[in-house]
Amino acid sequence: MDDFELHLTHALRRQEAPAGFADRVLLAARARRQRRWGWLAAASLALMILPAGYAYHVHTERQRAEAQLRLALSITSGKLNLAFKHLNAEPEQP
Amino acid sequence: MITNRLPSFACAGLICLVALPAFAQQGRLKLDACAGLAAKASNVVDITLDGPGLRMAARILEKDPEAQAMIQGLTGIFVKVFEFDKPGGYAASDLEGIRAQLQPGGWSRITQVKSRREGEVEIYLLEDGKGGNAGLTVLAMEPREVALVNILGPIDVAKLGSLEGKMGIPRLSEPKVTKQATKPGGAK
Repeated sequence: MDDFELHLTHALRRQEAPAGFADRVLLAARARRQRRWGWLAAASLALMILPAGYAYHVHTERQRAEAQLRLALSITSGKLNLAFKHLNAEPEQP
Repeated sequence: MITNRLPSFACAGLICLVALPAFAQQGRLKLDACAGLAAKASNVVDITLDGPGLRMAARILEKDPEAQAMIQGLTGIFVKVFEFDKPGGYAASDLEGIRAQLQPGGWSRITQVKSRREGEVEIYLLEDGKGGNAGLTVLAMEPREVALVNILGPIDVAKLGSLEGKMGIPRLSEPKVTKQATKPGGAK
């Protein structure tokens, strides 16, 4: 057996895992699994919240647009009627 | 050959890009042109409905076919109302910026009514060149209020006037009910 083979045998010899190694690996794996579930929960929540938020935004925009339209039409028809009223009225006395 | 004409094409494209919105909103008045009114007013109502806002509002009015028919085809509704603390809180010259925009560009005044008590209302229509109208502008100058209305698109003025008090549109021009002075009974 030459030096190389000796080094190789020494390097590949069976070694016992340090104390608590298996526990630490299992703990890390569990933590990683928990983190993944956390991300999944956050993503699911975001997927639920985002459309709801968008729907609320669209709803408020629609309400605003409707209120603006009704106000615009009421102002316009009011002013037109003011003109029509004067057109149909008798001339004012000086 | 084509590369020599590229600057010309670019210029033509740029002109089209600049000119397209102008054509799309033909007849739109710059209601901000009366800065004097805004400075003197105690309250300003500003309504701008065009593009998606107007389409959204039109969809809402599905339950009101009359109102929906009214706004169908409109491309913009712009309203500004200036309210003043005191009667005559503005000068006629404050509206020059708006009047100047109505001089050219197809606007024609169809009605002008003046009242010493209630002020003056002017109605302008934008001709579409086919015998119809493509817009409406109303200038209403009352003692404590100036209203500027600029509506773009085909509109029936008589029908628009009849909308007041219908479909949730409040009646603004209703005569105010004045309290009658009553003598307290038995008081001497």
